[in-house]
Amino acid sequence: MEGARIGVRLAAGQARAALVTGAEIRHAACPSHDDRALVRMLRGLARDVPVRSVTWDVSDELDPARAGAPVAAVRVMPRLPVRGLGSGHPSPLLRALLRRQAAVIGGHDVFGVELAALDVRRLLEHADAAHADGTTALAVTATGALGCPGHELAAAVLIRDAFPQLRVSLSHQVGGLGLLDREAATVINAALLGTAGRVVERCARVAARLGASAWFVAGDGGRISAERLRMLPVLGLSATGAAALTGAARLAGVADAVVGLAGADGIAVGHVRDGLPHVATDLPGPGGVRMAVPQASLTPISGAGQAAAAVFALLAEHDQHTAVVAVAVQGPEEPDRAAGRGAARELARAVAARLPSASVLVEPAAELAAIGAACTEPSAWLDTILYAETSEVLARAQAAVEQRALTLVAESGARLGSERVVASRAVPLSFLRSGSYRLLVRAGGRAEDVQPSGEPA
Amino acid sequence: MSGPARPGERRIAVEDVPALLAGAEFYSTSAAGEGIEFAGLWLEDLLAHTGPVRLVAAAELDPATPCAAVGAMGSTIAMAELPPSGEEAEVLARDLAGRVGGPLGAVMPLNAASVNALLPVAAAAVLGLPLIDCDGMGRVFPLIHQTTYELAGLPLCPLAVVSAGHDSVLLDTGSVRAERLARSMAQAAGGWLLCGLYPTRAGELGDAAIHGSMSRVLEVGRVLCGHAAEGARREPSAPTPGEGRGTAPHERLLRELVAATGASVLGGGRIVEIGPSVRQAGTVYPGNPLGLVVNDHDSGRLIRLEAHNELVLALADGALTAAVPDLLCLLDRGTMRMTGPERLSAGDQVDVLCVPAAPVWHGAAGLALGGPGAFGFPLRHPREGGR
Repeated sequence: MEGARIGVRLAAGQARAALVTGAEIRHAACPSHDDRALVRMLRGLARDVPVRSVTWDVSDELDPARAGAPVAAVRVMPRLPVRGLGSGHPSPLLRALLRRQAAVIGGHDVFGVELAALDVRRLLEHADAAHADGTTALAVTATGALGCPGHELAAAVLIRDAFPQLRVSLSHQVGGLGLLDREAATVINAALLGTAGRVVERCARVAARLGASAWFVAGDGGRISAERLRMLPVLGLSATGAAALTGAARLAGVADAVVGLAGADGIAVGHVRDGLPHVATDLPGPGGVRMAVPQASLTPISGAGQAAAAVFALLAEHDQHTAVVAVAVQGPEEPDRAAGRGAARELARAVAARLPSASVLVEPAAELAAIGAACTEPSAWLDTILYAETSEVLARAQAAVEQRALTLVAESGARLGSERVVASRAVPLSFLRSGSYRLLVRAGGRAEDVQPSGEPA
Repeated sequence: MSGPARPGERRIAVEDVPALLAGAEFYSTSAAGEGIEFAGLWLEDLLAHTGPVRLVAAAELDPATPCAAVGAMGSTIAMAELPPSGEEAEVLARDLAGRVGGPLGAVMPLNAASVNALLPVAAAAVLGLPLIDCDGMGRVFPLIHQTTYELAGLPLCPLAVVSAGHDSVLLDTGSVRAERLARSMAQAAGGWLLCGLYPTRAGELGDAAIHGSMSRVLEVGRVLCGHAAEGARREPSAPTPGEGRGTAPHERLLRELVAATGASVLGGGRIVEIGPSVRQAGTVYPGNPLGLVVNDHDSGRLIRLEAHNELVLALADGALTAAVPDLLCLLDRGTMRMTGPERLSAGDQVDVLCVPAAPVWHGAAGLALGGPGAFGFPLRHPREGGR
């Protein structure tokens, strides 16, 4: 066996790890704060097997309510709200993270046409004020930045030149369409830059001690590089559910499934297609904040026993794919989790008893999210708007966006030639001129450290 | 407005916004309601500044009260990317006041659906005016003159429009031409405009408006929000003897929506096809035609839905079963939310509802303005069968 992969979930002071081989799963856990203990645990897990990669689920470490630092935000709009109407965000999390908020003139429309010139003087005044009060990160969100990021990029250059200590997050790199949601994502991203840098450095250091590369699970169920998570920590949020979906499908031996993740007090239902969790961009993220960032779609069914089992059975009955129900609470080594695991196992079995015989009950020996992290593959997701007068122009533009997505997959460590477009949709936009489309592209690939059969080497 | 509500006074306040948003999605006929959640956040913040809005029946106002319809034209996605500043309504009110001989005394919705169920509330809040509980569509239509106001002969112009950048224009022309000119401006001004139109007197709204529209939106929204809150926590209903299964959550919600709206369920199941329609786009309408096919789980029939911005036709195994101006709405069984083509992919599971339009739309003039023929379909509306 050569080049095995390890997945690790860091949460609540514990590191739970799984090494997945073709037929065997090894698992271990240790306190997460001690690097030497972590290395020792991972070496013990690997034993005689060389490890090519360690993929980390660090979403708990990046919880913005605990790990976020106060930031400043600048919104770029063609007109400033005089009375501040409609510019606030109801989320207590965002209010806690925002030390100061301002707006400057500028921005583009959704097709990238400039609506107003960027007010450079006001921008630098706001950056100066943020710097003066000790703020270390600034979130810049310009309207239309997905159509044309010019004002955001110009703002970044100006701010970095004038205030090199200020770190800048740009919305077009962070999220999709929708200014308010993307701004929320950009603020959270900026707030996490410091913590993410420390977490990434530590995970990479530990992986390097095993001679392995470090990767990170993203909220959409794909894996991203250390450099990408360092710059875009918001992508690493909500990764645990996505990793658990991936792990459940992998253990069930199916690429397409409706998956029920059984916990102590209910089931979360998600879908896996072509090995990747089904994602949406309009789901509430940390603190209930919507962020225009793709994350695995999980619908909770609360309630224990027969009630939740009956609801999942009905949902599975209407689904054409294999139903998989998995125990999603691990850690019997800890007394306080043993009871929860018992309840989850009981629930999973109650659900499985109601499902057709082709369904699969998964009772993993290790933390499901850690198993999923080990199995996570590179992926990318793009959301953009374009104008195409003819179907030929649309096809060319769509192919160009698909190529960008494939490039991102390659940058996330995909084996050359394994990159593929998983989904690509051009949706006509309502109430805009004919020929206006929203393009949603998802791509995936096989990690370099996986043999062509798809099994971990 | 501020202070306690008087006995019998109806208000729309911050806490009503989630229901307003959910109802607005329902009445958006599955296309135009997508991605309007931003407007809920925006309106909540705005109402937190201004206080609640008084909701009144047209008959409660002095018949001489000057009023005008308020609504946006253009793309909700463009608006999500370029949200209003909140002060656009002041520009409209100022421009219209100069033409109607004095300040407005009330605001009415152009159409109480999609984002246009929320924007008139914001306009009334910013202007400190009551909001009339009515609208001119009872749904979403793509053109601003496809209204019951138009059917009643109210002049659409002067039409005041303002963009998010506060570019403003006052148009004085016929309804059709006003729509075309403003549509061109919307495209150039960031993708949407806020419009003030059909300036009139409250006493003229008797037969010209669909009354109680805002109340209906709130009522349906409360059904949807109540289900979302209670939602999956509830147990499925007990199976009937010998049936071996209970009632799925989406079936319960469908029953409640049918009871609240008078809708009928055309079918439900998996989407087996979705993509650009083979139909050519008309030059009058923005957007591109799109089609989707639902494989009805119970009957095995194929329900084809034609969309052009919103859903306009439903054919079951090739036979026309429902058509505009009646509302076609899609419920996503996975998320238990109203949905539409921009959110859906092949394989998703939906239920198809048909909600009857306001009776005025089923007359000859109503069908001419908002029936299948108005969208380029040489088809008789199912309700025209006997004529």
